[in-house]
Amino acid sequence: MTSAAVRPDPAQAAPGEVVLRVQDLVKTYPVRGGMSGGRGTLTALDGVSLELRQGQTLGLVGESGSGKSTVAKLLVAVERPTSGSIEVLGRPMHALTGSALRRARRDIQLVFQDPYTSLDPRLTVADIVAEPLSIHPDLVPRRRRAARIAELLDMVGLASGFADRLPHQLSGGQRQRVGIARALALQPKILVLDEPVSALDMSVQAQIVNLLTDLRDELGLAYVFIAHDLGVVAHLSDHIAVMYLGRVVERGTHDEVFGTPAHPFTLALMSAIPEPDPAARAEFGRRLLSGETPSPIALPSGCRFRTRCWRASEICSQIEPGLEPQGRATTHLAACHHPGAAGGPGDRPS
Amino acid sequence: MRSYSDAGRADTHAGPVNRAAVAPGEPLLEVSGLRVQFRTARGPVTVLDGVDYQVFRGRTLAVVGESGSGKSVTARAIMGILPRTASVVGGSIHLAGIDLLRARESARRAVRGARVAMVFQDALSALNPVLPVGFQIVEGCRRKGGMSRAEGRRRAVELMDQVGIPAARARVGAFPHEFSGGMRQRVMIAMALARDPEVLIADEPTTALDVTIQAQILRLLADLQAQRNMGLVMITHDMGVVANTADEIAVMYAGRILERGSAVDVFASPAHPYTRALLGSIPRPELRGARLPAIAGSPPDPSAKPSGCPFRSRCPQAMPVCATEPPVVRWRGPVPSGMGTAGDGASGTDAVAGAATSGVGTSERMAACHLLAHGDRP
Repeated sequence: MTSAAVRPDPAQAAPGEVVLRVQDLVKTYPVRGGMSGGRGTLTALDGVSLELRQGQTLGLVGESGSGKSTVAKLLVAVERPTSGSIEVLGRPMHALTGSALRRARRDIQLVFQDPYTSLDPRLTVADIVAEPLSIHPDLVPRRRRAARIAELLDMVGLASGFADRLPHQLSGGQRQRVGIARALALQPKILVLDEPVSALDMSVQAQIVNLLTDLRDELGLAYVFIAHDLGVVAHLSDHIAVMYLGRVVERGTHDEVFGTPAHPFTLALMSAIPEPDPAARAEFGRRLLSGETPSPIALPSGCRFRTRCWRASEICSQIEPGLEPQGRATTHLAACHHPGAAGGPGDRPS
Repeated sequence: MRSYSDAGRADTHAGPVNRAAVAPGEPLLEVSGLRVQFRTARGPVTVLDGVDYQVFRGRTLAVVGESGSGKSVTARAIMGILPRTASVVGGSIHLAGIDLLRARESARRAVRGARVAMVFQDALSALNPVLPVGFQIVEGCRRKGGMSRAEGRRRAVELMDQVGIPAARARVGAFPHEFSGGMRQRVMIAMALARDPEVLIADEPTTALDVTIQAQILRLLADLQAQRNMGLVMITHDMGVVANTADEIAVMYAGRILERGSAVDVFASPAHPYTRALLGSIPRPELRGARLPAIAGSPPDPSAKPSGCPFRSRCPQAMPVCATEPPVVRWRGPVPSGMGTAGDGASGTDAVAGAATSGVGTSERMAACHLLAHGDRP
C-alpha cells in the first residue's frame, strides 16, 4: 500500500486480521406514551460502522445515550440490529440464529461494568466460571472442566482457594476478575468490555487495567473497550471511536483522535475531562458545553450536535454530515461541516 | 458561559438564625479527632479513627478516598444524619464556634441545614418523588422562617435561576422525574443553598453524571462558592475532580486522614506512600501500552484493619515498626527526607512538580507515616 509511508502509525503496521467488522448498524426502538402521548421511534444507533483487528483495542467513548452500550448489546447478540451487519471472524452475527448463533457467540464475550450485580450471589466462583462451559458442553470434556476452571482462575490472578467462595466474600476487584474469567471460559477472540473498571475502587483500577493488557497480549485478544474515563481509554486503545446520539462522529487511531481531534464534540469531551493535575486547571472546561443531549426521539435536523455546537452554521441544520477523511490520513474520519483541531481562543462555546 | 451574576446573598430569607461572625483566618468548620463506631453483629467497628480537618471561608477542601475510607461518614456526622447503628465515640465538630456534638438540640438544629448544608450524590433518591421541586427547595426555610406560600414560591424560582435551571418559573411545580440527572443535581444544590449556608458539603456530587454535565456542575459550584464566599467540602474519589476544584486536600484511607496539604503541594510532591502510589497508578500518556504501577490488594475491611498504619498491608515500603501507631508529622516547604524520596509510584508525579511550582511548599502539610521518623533505610 502506497499510503503506508505517510502513516507511520505502529497500530496500522501491526499485522492483524480484521476480527470484527460492523457496517451501517441501525437500532430503533418503538416508543409509546410519554409526555406527548403519541407513538414514535427512538433511534439508538443510526448507521454505525466500526472495525477491529486481532490484538488491538477499539475504545468507544461518548455520553450516556450516545449508543455505546447498545453497540455492546448488539455485538454479543443480546439484542438484534434493525438493519446493518456485524461480522465476527467473517461470520454474519446479525443474521445467525439457533445453534449457529450459539457457536458464533463463543468468539465474542461481554464483561459487565458492575461486578456486584453481574454475578449470581448463590453460585460459587467455580460454578460461575463453569456456567459457560455447561452451556457449550462440546468445548471442554466434563472430566477436563475442573482443570480448565483452575486454569482460568489462574489466568485472572485468583488463587485456587477462591474457587469455593461466594461473590459476597470477594472484593470488587476480585469479583471483576471472576467476571473476566467467565468471559474467557469459551476462548473468545473478542471481549466487549462495558465500563469494566468504573465501579472499582481507584486503588484497584490499575490492577484490572494491567490484567486486561496482559490477557490481550498473551491470548491475542481484541477488545471493544467502552468507557467514559478517557485516561483509561487512551491507555489501552489503538483506535478510538467517539459517539454522539447514536452516530460515530469521529474515529481514527489513538494519535489521530487524541493528537488532532477534528470534531467539536471530541474537543468538548476532552475539555470536560478533569486532568489529575492542578497545573492543567485552566484547560478544564474551556469548552464547556451548554445544555444537554437532545432527545433521541426528536433528533435535530441536519447535524445532531448542532444544537450544542459553537461552530454551527446554516448548513449544519440542513445537511447531516457524513464521516469524511481528515487531512491525508485515510484512517481519521470525522462527521462535521466545520472540522479541525482547536482554533484560537474564540473557538469554544460562548 | 452562562452568567449567574444575580446570585447574590439574600440574608432576609435565611430565617431567624443567629449567625455569630467568624474571625478572619479562623476555620468555619473544624473537625477534631472524630471517632465513629458502627454497631454490628460481630461487635463495634471503628469506621472513623481520629479525623481532623478544617474548612475556611471561600476555600475548597477536597476529601478524597475510596469506598469505606470514611469520607461520607465524616460528612454525615457533621450533618447529624449518621445511621442509627452509628455513634460518635470521640472528638469534636465545631461550626463557627458552636460545638455540634455537645450543644443543645435546638442550637444544633439552628446550625445544621442553615449554616452547613449538604448535596448528595444520587439526586433521584435524595429528592421526594411525589412533591414538586419548588416545594422541596424551600421546605427548610418555610418551616424555619415562617415564610408564606407565595414568598416560598418566589424564593424557589430565584434559587432555581441561580443554579441555572432554565425556565424556572414554569418548572417550579414540576416533579423530580421530569428533570434530567444534571438538572436534578441543580435542584439539590438549590435546596442546599436555600438557607444561605456558610459551608456546603458536596458528597460525590457529579459521580452519577456524564463528564460534560459534570463539568457544568463543577463550574456551577465554583461560581456559587465565589459569589457567596462559602467554604466548600468536595467529597470525591476522582483525582481529576480534586485537582480541578481543591485548594486543600485531605486523603482518607480506612477511617483516617493519611495526608493533608494544599492541592498544588500534594500533587507536586505527595508524601504518604498511599498518595504517591495512588497518583502513580493513574494512566498517563507516557505509560501508554505499558503496565501501570498498580497498588496490590484491596482497601481493608473496616472490621479487619491492620494495627498501626492501616495502609501497611499494601505498602511497598512497610517496615516492622508500621504495626505501631504512625507519627503525625507536620511541616512546611519541601517534603522531609525519608518521605517522598522512594521511586515507587512517585516518579510520574515529578512531571507535575515542574509545571505547578507557583505556591508550592508555602502552606502547612501533614502526613501520618513512620517513614519520616525512620527514613527509607532499614
